[in-house]
Amino acid sequence: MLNAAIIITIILGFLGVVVKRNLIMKIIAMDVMSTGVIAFFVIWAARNGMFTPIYKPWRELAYADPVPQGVILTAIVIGLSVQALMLVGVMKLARNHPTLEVESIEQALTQATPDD
Amino acid sequence: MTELTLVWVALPFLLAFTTYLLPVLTRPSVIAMAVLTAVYAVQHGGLPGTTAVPLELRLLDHFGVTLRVDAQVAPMLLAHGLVTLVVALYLDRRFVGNRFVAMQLLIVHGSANAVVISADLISVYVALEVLSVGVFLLLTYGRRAEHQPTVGERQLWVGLRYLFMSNVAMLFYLMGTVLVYVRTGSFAISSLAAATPTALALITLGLLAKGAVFVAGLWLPLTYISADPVIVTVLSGFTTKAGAMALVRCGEASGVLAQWLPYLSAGSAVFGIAFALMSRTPQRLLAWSSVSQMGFVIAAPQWAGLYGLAHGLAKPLLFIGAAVTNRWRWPMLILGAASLAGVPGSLGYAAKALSLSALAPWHEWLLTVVTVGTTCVGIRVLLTPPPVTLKITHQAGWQDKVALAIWGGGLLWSGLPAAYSTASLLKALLSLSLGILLGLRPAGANGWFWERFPLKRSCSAEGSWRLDEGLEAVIGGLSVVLVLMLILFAGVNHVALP
Repeated sequence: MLNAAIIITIILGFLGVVVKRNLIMKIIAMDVMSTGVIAFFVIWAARNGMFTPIYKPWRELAYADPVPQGVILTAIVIGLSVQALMLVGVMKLARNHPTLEVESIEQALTQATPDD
Repeated sequence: MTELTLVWVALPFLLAFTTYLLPVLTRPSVIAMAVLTAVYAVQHGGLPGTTAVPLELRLLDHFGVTLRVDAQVAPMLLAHGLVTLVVALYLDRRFVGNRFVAMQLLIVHGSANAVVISADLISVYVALEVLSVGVFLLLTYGRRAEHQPTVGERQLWVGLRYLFMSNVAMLFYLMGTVLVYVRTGSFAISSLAAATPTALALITLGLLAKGAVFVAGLWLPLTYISADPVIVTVLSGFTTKAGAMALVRCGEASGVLAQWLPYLSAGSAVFGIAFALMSRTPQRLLAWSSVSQMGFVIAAPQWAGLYGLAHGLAKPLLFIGAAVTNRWRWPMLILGAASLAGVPGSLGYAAKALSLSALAPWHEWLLTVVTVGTTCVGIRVLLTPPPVTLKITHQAGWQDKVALAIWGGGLLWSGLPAAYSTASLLKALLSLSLGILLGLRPAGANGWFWERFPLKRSCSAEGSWRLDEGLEAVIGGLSVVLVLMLILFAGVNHVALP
């Protein structure tokens, strides 16, 4: 159930990136997708147990797997920095294309400098 | 050797951050780093025709980082070194922001090195992400002439498009890695042998997109056309190939992927060359030809590094040559085109002959036919008149001479007697002569039918027909490739599934 919800989150995020017209909306959709992927890691890490993986000899518990949790931290940081970078790029684009509609930006750019 | 390798991997990043504090050191440190990489690569069998003992490093336990430097990737490392070296010389004081670009170049160089030598999925992921951030900054910030100090909007747009594409592709890749981990308990690339088809499809999609192979390479042409020629040199020289090299490495570990890699290679070669032949401007011709050449790079895994080196020296020479107007233009273009088309005596010929001789017959013949198209592209680039209005590559520079000496000199390396068998020579000469004949189109005519193709459509339909290379198409293309990979890996298999 939880698994299905996560997969749906990822697919919705991906569809958002493709379908949404506005650049900001696309970036938000990408964030939704990356949240889904992070949750995907967490859910797989917790498949054998939910407890925080801090070993105590007197506790017989089903611990969660720390490796995917550790790895996803890197991905979270990278995702954050990529998003920050994209937002800066969008800010600069917004100066001349205030609507940030992808279609109009692409049209304007191909008309300004046709390459073929 | 272990310590040296570790220092060499970490040094570019260290230098890059140090140069923030000491900006004077930027260009010298890029040059020193590039020379160091070249020396390191030569030591590990980077020169064509030499071999060396593979070096395998396993840091920490089986969750840790695994690195592998062998004679197969060493030529690619040599390409990183040589391309970075010459590009660093182009970033001189005449341009605004040259230091920032040089610093980004260091980071891109370091992360490309890391991608090529990493042997576990997470290291590959991290290095590829750093690479895409670095490439984004190179593309958007670029090298700007003094009279044009702001960032071009077109560059900004292609940079954003690249980042969108690569981030979405790498998210799919991450999903694949966790599936591999769940199944095998390890992130090492060697554990891909036991991966499920879904995991394999997701990982392959990420690497195909980064390596611009097949339909996932739809982002490449517009990016190469819009950016500054010197930055495109970095992209075509090594950053795009990093993804392809990682793909080749995964193909070696996984039987299921290895069985489909030839089809992906053939698809990419044909897809790229078909659109290259329909293009008009030299930049567009070269960009589409890059997509096609990626197919050659992944064709024969044992020669991928060598092909990467040959292409990584030829394409930069062509891109720079097509953008300059001084008298070094012709030697650059001729050498680059000769190596790209595979004229015997050049490195391109040796790489192509060795790769092709290792392939299945159908694949070999298909790629030979594509070579005819590549020759045609080379001839057409040679025949285009020099650009009237220059981009911002300055007129006559000593950098052009150095580029010609280092890249062109590298292309003339012919220490590979194994490549000169009669069959390979005959095939090369046949495809060359056919390509030259097709390339030198009849005077007065408007070119062959494939060159008129887009024009003809524009007469009938409203506006000219062209391939949709917009952001939606690029990202939507990823989902198409993903579905294709899932069908290929899960449905149609000759190898027993794990």
